[in-house]
Amino acid sequence: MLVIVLAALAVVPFFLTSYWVYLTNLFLINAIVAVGLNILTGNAGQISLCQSSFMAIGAYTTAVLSARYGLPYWLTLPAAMAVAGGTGALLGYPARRLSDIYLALATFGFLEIFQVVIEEFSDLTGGVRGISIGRPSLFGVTLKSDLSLYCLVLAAAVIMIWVASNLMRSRFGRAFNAVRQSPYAAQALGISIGRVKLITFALSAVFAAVGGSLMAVVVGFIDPLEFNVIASLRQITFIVVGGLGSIAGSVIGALVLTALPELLRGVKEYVGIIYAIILLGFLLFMPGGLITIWAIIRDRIWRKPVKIEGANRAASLD
Amino acid sequence: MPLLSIEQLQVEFGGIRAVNQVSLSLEAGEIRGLIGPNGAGKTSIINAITGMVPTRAGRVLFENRDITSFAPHDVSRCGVGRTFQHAEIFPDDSVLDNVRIGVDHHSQVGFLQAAFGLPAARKAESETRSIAIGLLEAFALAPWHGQRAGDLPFGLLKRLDIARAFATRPKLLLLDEPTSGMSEAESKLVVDQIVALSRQYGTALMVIEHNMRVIMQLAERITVLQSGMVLFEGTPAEVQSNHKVIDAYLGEEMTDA
Amino acid sequence: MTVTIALQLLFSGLSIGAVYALVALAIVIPYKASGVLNFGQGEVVTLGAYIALVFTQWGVDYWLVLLGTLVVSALFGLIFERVAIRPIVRAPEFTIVIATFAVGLIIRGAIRLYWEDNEYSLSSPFNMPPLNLGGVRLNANFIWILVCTAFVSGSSALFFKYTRFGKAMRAVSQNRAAARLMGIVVEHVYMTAWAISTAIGAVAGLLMAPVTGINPEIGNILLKAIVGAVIGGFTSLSGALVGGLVVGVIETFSGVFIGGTFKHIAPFVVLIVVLLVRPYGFFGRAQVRRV
Repeated sequence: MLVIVLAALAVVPFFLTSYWVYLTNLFLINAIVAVGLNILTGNAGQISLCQSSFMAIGAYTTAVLSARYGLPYWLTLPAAMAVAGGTGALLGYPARRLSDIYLALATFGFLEIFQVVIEEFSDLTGGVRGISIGRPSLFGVTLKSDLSLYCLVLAAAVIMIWVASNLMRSRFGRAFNAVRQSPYAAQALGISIGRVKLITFALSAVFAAVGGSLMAVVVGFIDPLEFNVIASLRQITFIVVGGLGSIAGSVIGALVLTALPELLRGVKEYVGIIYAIILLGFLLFMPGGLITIWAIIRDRIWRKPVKIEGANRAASLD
Repeated sequence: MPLLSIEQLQVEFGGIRAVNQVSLSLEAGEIRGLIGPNGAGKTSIINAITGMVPTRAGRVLFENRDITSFAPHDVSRCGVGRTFQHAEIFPDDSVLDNVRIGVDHHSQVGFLQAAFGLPAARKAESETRSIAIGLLEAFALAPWHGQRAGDLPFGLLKRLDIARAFATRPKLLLLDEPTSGMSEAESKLVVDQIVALSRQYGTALMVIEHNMRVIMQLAERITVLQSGMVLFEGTPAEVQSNHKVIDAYLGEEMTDA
Repeated sequence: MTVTIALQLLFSGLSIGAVYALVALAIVIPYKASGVLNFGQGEVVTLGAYIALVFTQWGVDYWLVLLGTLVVSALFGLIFERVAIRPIVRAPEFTIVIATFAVGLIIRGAIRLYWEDNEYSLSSPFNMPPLNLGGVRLNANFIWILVCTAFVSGSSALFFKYTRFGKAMRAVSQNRAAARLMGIVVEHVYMTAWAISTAIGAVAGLLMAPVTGINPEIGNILLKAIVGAVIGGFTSLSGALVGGLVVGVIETFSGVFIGGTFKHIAPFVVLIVVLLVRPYGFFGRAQVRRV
């Protein structure tokens, strides 16, 4: 299954027009950000409304370092990740005592503060007018062609998703899920809730920063409007529609919702409201996301679920 | 030196003293019963030991270390495990993963090792899986290992909770009503396993129980609580024949058991 | 900084704060009753302003506009509760937060579709030259805002303390199941709480309109109102009032002393500080968790 998807993605630039390659780049970027957010929200259960701020950190760090200081991409990307990761940890540490609504509010507050900060330090960030970024250069080579840029984005996406998958299938992923499902039991099993919150905030920030940094070089221009609360909600929509807590779900959600504005190009004014309706619809009627459809199909075809007859299965022990 | 030592413990909830000047101590490997009518403060003592509720006064010493104000995960790290009255399993995880989280307790796999799928991490994963399946088999839960834990009936969840707690190889395991919701056959299985694992791992046990038959057989010593205070402490035989205990508590229970 | 200027700033701060206080009240009431924090409340405020606009464009007199807005928004609140809130009351926090956000966005989107980003103005009988009291210029619209806020807060306080319905609402907020067993129809309590909340929110929009103009973005006031509610300890009505006023005053004074843009982040900095230090605010009570 995975191999098919990868193969399909690998040949995209050879068969599609420049515009569709651009769209695929956006989809891959959204997938990276969504996977990171899902680890924080879907797995660890932390509500965060400031994911787009971490994306902004990634984008602006890359933009400023390359536009002002001429640093090559293989330096600006890790720098972006480091700054975002540090900020994420800085936010995750005091946030360990907050949950649910209060955490949502704190992250919302942080986002608003960050918006103002971007606009205030306009000589650095270009303020409301934004910054332009040239094509990235790696080890002396500037990635001028669509193909080379696409390879960069695809490689980044594959690596990030692979790392996420490894983590979620390790003791760390199990600990994240434990914190969401039963904080009491998690603590009784030696898991520090504070540490999990700190790690997952930092982790989701790093993913967002990679996405932001890539977006800066793919689009070539960034401004603060890209990173407002609506953007955060859009990312939340990816993971709700795709499936909370599932990496595949994040990718599916990103795919469906990156394609959507394209399909709705004729009715551009309606895009925002349609997004919101879709989000609400899934929350109310399919909270598990699209991935649940896949799970149902898979179970029907490949596996027979174990049946429990009655409360005392211990009959087999008598 | 006793493994666990509780000195003049006091726990209050909004003016009500749930635990009032309770002192008790436990030796390594001991099996202690903790009984008393509902509201006697038994679960509150466990909550206080594990740091889940604040202590108003008194101390909790584990291996001579003052753990009174330790956070719950630090108490666990010291080697104290517990189970819950309502099982508190992880409903979305599989039965196997529930126990694996317990085994993870002493995992040495680092973050970067896990993130990049290094051989050390992958080896650790298959090892944890084996250990977890072993524990599931001990508690006859193996048939459901892939099942979503939240879909299982209560008795099975209680077993899962116990298996998961043992997975952390605790030095002291606090069990909160381990056989509630179980049939006689299930209870026997669970108690046998608890004793076997406790001997194998050298785990001391403190068991809250309402099932008198179970606790009288299982425990070496029993502490009886009433209204947040220690009423009596002694061997099962002594407890059953103590008139204070019978008046307060056993008088009704004996007719049921 | 003369006394006159300080008083002037205080007056402005309190007036802005009064609007925040109203919105904060509109947030806390349904939160107390049904445990739902309405992230779409900002759009209720916007909706109120637009409803008032529609009535005004029909040539209706201001006082009837006020009445009409109250009635229409209360009706909207009833529908809103039934359709959007009832299904999610028992849902996990995440769902509630995001769902109400989504509803807010839908409302905002709908408003934008019909009225676009045009700026409208609302005529009010208080658009007169400011009164002068000992050197302090008192804007009549501001005075009206303060009067309304006092009235709304006062009557809410009386309502919740002394009427049968108010007591029912307090019972529901403490223990839903017990309230039901006492014969209280919890659904009626929800409906009333939300109707009151939307009415208050809409009035806030109507009061704001002559001062800020009418456009789809005025709902952004929400976050500042939430800061007020948090400062006041989320479940306290009097706290919401005081909290809102405090936010308004802090915003106004910091605008003078620190500078233009920082005026906008001052409330959020306060929010984060309060959340970290005293999440249950200064009027609320800490909740003890038991296993």
